[in-house]
Amino acid sequence: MTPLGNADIRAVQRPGIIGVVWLLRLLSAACIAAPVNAVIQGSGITDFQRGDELLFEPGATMLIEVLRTQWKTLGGAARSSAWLTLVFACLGLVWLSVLLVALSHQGRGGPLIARAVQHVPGFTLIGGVTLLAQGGVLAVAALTYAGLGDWSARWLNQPSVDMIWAALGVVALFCVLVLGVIQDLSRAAAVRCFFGPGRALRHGIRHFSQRPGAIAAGWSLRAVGSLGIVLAAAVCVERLHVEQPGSWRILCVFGLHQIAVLALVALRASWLAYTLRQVG
Amino acid sequence: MQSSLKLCLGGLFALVGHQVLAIAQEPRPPTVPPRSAAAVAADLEVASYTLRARLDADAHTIQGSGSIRWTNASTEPTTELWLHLYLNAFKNDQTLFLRSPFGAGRSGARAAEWGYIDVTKLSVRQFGSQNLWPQAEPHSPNDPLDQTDIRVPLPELVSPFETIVLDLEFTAKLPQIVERTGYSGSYHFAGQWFPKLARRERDGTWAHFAFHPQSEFYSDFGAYDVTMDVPQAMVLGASGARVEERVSGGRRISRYRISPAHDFAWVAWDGFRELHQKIRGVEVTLLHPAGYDSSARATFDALEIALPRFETLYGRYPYPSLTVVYPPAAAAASGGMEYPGLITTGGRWFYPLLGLRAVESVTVHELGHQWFYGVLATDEHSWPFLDEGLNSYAELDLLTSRFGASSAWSFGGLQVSSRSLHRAFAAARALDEPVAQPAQSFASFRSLASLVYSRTATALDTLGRVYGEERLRQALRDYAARHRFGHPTPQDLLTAVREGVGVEAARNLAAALFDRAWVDYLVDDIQSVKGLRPAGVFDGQTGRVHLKPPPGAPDEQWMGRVVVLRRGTLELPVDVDLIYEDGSRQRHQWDGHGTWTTFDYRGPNRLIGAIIDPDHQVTLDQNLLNNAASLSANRTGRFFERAVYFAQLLLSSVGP
Repeated sequence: MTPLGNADIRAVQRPGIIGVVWLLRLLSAACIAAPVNAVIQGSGITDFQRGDELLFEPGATMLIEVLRTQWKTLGGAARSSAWLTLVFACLGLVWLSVLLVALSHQGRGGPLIARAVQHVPGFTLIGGVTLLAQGGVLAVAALTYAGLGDWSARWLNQPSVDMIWAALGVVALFCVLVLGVIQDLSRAAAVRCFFGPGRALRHGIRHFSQRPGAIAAGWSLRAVGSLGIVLAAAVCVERLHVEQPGSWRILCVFGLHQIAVLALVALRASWLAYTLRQVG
Repeated sequence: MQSSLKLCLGGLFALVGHQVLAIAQEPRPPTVPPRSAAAVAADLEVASYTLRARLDADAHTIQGSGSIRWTNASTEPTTELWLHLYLNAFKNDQTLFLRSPFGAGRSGARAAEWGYIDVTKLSVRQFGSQNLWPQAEPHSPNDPLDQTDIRVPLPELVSPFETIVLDLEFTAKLPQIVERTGYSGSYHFAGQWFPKLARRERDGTWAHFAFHPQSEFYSDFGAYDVTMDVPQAMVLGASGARVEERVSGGRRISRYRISPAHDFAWVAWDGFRELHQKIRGVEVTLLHPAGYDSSARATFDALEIALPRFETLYGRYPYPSLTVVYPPAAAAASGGMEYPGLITTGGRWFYPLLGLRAVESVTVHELGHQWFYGVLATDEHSWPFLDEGLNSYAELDLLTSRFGASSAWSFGGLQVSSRSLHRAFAAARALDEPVAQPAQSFASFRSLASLVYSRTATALDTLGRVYGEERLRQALRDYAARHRFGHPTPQDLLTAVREGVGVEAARNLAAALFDRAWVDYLVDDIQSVKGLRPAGVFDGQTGRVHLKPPPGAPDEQWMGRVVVLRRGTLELPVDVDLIYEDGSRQRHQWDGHGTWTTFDYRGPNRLIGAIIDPDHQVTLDQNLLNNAASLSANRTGRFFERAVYFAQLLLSSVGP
C-alpha cells in the first residue's frame, strides 16, 4: 500500500470508509440495545395499542411502571449490554485502525484490512497506557478533592465547595482529553511512520508539546462541532413529538439521529486525518 | 416480652381496624357535631410553656428554665406526669433510637457527638417547692437503656380540669446533627430541646412513648412564650412571632410567642442570610445560607402558590408569621421537618438547574404540615398516616395542579410526575403491611415511607379521581374544619370521607389503610371473530327449517369478547376502552363488583384491543402493564430507536 502525501489526507476522500464505520457502529449499537429492548418489549407494553410510545408520555407513569416491574430483569439485561459495549469498544480498535490506514494510504479491500489488523496490538498497548494515565489523573483529582474537602467545607459555603469540585472536575477532564489527543497523535504516528507503540507515544507527546495550541484548536473545533450536532439533533427530535402517534415520527427521528451519528463519524475521521498530517 | 407486646399491639390495632371498617360500612352515619367553642378553647390551653434558653455555642448546650402550665383535660384524676425527654434519644448508642446498627431511622446516620437533656429541677407550685425529679423513673418503661419517656409521680392528686404550674430547670446538650436536631459547626438547630409533657387523652390515658427512630410526636396545644439568649452574631429563627429583641453584653436576647401550638423549635447560625416577604398577610422569614439565592426564590415561589391554596382547602394558616429554615449542606439532616410556625426545607443549590422540583416539593410538603400535624394535631406515633399520608396527598394534589406531568422532574424532554412516583412506591409494598399502624410497627423506615406517605397519598388520589376530586377536597376541607386545633383519629377521617365522598369510597379507603387491601385489573382474554350465519335445525312457526350455510361462510358482522378480571379486595369502578380496527374506541364502565366481567361486541369493525383504565384513574392499580390486551403486538420501535442512538453516542465517547 502506498502512503499518501499530507495534502491528500482528507476525510472527504474516504466517504466509503466513513460510511462503513457508521454502519458498523449502528450494528454494534443495535446489538448493545437489544437485551434491554427485549425486556421492555416483553414487559406487556406492546399489548397497549400505542405500544412503547407510552414510555415517552409526560408524567412517565408507564415508564416508571416498566422500571418497577422489570427492575431485576432490566438489571441483567443492562449487564449484558455493558459487556457488549466493552466488546464493541475493543472491536472499535479494528475500525479505528481501518479508518487510519484508509485515510493515510491508497488502496482498499483485503490489503487495507490486513494492514489495519497489524496495527491493532500496538493500538491496544497505546490505549492501555493512555487509560492508565487517565486513571491516574482522575485519582489525583479525587485525592485533591478529598484533601480540600474539610478545609473548603469549613471556610466556604456549599455552592463554592461545589464549584471547587466542578473546577477540579473540569481540570481533570481537560487532562484526560489532552491524554486522549496525545493517544490519537501516537496512533497516527504508528500508522504514518510505522513506529512501534513506545516510539509512537514519544512521537505523539513531542508533537503535542511542540504545537499544543494548534493541535488543541484543531481538536476543539471538531469537538464543538460534535457537541453542536448532538444538541441540534436533540432540539429537532424534541420538535417531532415522538410521544405522539405516527410511524413517520419514528422514521424521521431515526433518520435525524443517524445523520447526526454519521456527521460525528465524519468529524472523527476529519480529526484523525488532521493527526496524520501533523505527524507525517 | 417484646413479642407479646407486638402481639398485644397487633390485636389492638386489628380491633381498631375492624371498628373503623364497621364505621366506614355504616349506611347512614351519625352526624358528628362540630366541637363547641368552649371545648375548643379548653383544648388550646392544655400545656403552655414559658421558657428561657441560653445557648453556649462552643459547648453546644442550652441552659433552660421556666414553667409549664398544665391542665388535666381528661375526665380522670392523675397522680403522675409523663415527660418526653426526646433529646436523650441521642445520649448513647444503646437508646431505642440509636441501638439498631442498621440505621433504622429516616437518615440512618449515627451520632458523632452525643446529645442529651439533664433535668435538674421539677416542682409543682401548688404542691410546694419540693423537687420532684429525684423521684422520677430513671428510664423509659421496660427499657433500662432508654431515657426518653419518663414517669414522674406526683405527691398529690390532680383532679379533672384542675390546672397546675410546673417549674423546671434543665440543661440540653445538642448532638452533632443526627436527625432534625443538633449542631454542625456554629449552626444550631434546637428541636425537641426541652422536657415535654405527654398528652393525656380524654379518658385519662397518657399517650406516652419512648422515642423510636421511625416515630414522630404527639402533644397538647398550649401557648409558648420562649426567650432565647444566643451570641450576638447569630441570626435567630423560631416558631412564632418575635415580640422582643435586645442586644446586651455580646448576646442577642429574643423573645418569641406562638399560640395555640404544640411544639417549639428554634435555630441560630451566624451564616444565615435573611429574607422577608408577606404572603396572604403572613410574615414569612426565610433563613438560608449564602449562595442559595435561586433556591430562596424557588422557596418563595412555592410558598406563594401553596399558602393560598392550603388556606382555601384546609382553613386559615393559624399564625401571623412563618419561619422557613434552609439549612446549610453540612446540616442537611435538620432539613425537611415541621414545627408549628417553623419549617425546615433543603436541597442542593443546583437542583433547579437539573429540573428537579425538590425545593418546591419539600417546601410544599413541610408547609402542608402546618395543617396536617400543626392544626390537626394527630397522634404521629400511633397513626403516622394521618399527618404524613394526608399531607403527602395535599402536596401531590398541589404539585399536580401547578406543574402537571412535570411535578417531580423535567429534564431533556423527560417529564416525571409526583403521582407516578407515589404510585410506584405505593405499589412496591402494598401487600406487605397495613398503612394504618403505629410508626414503630413498620418493618423498616423504607416500608413506612412507601406505605404511610405514598400509599395513603395514592389511595386518596384514587378516591379523588374515581369518585370526584372536588368531593374529596370538600371532605378533607370538612375534616380540617371540624377538627381544627383538635386531635382527630382515623375514624374522624373516614367519617369525613364517608359523608363527603360516599360509603363505598370510605369502605375502600378503610380497607386500603387497615387491611392491606389492593386491586389489580387485568384483561384476561380478547377474541374477535367474523360472525357466522345461523346454522342447524330451527323450529319456527312455519315448521322445521334446516339451515346449511356454506362451511365457514362469514357474516358481515364481527363478534368480539373481552374478559376483564379484578384481583384483590378493593372494588373500584373503572373504565374499559374497546379498540377497533378502524381506530375508533368505545368506552365502557365497570363498577368493579365481582371478580370478573365481560364486554361483548357485535358490529362492522373488528375488535383489536382493550385497555382498562386508560386515563390512569385508579392509581392504586397494582400492575398497570396487564391492563391491556391486543390481538397483535404493537411494536412501534420508539424505545429501540432511542436505545440504539444512545448506544451509538456511548460508543463514540468510550470507543477508541
